[in-house]
Amino acid sequence: MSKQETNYNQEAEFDVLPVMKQDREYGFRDYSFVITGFAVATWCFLIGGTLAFFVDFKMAIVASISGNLIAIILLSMSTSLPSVKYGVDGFTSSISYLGLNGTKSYLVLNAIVTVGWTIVLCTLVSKSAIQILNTVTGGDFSGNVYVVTFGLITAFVCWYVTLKGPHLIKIMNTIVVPVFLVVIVILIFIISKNTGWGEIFKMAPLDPFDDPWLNFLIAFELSLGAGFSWWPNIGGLARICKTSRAAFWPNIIGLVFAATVGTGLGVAAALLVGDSDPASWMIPICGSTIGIIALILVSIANISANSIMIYTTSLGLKQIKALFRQRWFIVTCAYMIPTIIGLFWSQLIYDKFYFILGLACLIYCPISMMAVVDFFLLRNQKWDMRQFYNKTSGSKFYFWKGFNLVALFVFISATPVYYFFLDPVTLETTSAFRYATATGSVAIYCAVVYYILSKIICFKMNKGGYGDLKESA
Amino acid sequence: MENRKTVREELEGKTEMSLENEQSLFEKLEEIERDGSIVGPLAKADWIGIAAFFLVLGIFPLIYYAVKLF
Repeated sequence: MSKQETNYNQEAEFDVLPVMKQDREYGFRDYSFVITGFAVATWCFLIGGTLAFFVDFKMAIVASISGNLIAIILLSMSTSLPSVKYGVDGFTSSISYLGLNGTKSYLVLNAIVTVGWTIVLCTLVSKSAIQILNTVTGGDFSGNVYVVTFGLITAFVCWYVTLKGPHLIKIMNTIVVPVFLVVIVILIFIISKNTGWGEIFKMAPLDPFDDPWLNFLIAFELSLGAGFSWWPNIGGLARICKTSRAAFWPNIIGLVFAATVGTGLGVAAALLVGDSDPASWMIPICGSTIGIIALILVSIANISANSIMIYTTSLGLKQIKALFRQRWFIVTCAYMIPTIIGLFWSQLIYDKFYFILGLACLIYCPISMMAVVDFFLLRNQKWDMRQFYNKTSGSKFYFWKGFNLVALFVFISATPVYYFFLDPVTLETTSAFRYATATGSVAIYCAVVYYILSKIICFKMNKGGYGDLKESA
Repeated sequence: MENRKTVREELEGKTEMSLENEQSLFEKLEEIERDGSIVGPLAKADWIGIAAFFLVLGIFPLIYYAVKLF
């Protein structure tokens, strides 16, 4: 095994060790900058473009703050606070309520959501390249063949960057934030100068339903999904924060308020151009030269963001036994092959991008609610840390053959509950959706059922180490 | 030291880690068990702030638009 391969294995192992106080880097201000830079990125434009279908600018801002805030508070309670207290990331901590093997299955599910994001960002780069080509040559390269081809090229570039290792990724990471901020400043300046925000406030949504309450609820639901999409990232960041306060409040600053600035800009641009696709905004709003420069900058930011996602998710996949001893190239193949296959349907996935937000709600909302109930109510904010690292059936977090059947039941049964209110693929709602949002209902259902079943089954059958906590108390 | 011994007895060879990382893990676990946690929880004032944010910016806008649009 080469030295670099050993390094990846060491890093995968090292990634699950608790981070002690003296090794932590982020104070309140540091983490606020990091998370804000992370939050204000292309996904804000994509989400903003989608919100513009249903609601006007003012309602989009309100829905974005409200939905993101609720999701981020629940998310921070489920991952940031436990992670900062004990120094472990969200996936390691999920062993306490999913079981050892349950967490590995969850890692795979998480990779599916991330693959979806990778496909969307590759397609956005592809569409940006097509816009540039169309403008420069005067031709029409908008056909599906070009979208797929440029998307595949982008995916291979991102893969190459990932294979080159963390050093290149770190360099690219430093590019993303300033580059994207430049684009945002350009857009704000040009929209303010040419149109004015008063006009933006008066513009009607692109393609709303007849019922204004339904439009608001859809915008709120999509914002919840945007908030819950951060689950895989914030636990890992919280464990390197110096205090609980530093791990919690910057999430609100960055993932709610700063992200809403980006989303609001996305809504404004979509309303102005009459198109929800961020790739089609820059040239009509900024003119040819500045528009092309902006598209190139956004594409660089997207390639960087994709490489980071591929790298971190692949590193997470290394925790699965079958992949741990494999070469880094093989591990990244496990991520990139589904991505490349998915890119052949990139247009469909890109157009139905909001499906990923629904999928994020379906996966991360039940997980978050179970985590909150487990840590705060069932375990009284105390973990037996040894159990996370005992990978044998002797671990108290082994539950039933490595799976917490209660969590498994709650997780699986949450899907029909969600569908009872909303179909995330078509955004078709039932009459019940007007009275309770899909994610809100799933959240309450998961919290209540997980609490009751854990008390009835896990406590009674002495699974999960809950009894020991009671004794020590 | 006594605690590290019990950590070692319970976990040695069961962590699927290299010897070097396993040793580091035992030291860290001992320190966490001795102190109870690595950092303290949020203060009461923070929880009041969180509840206020949740209600004012999370729930009230929903109620406002429900009353206005439903």
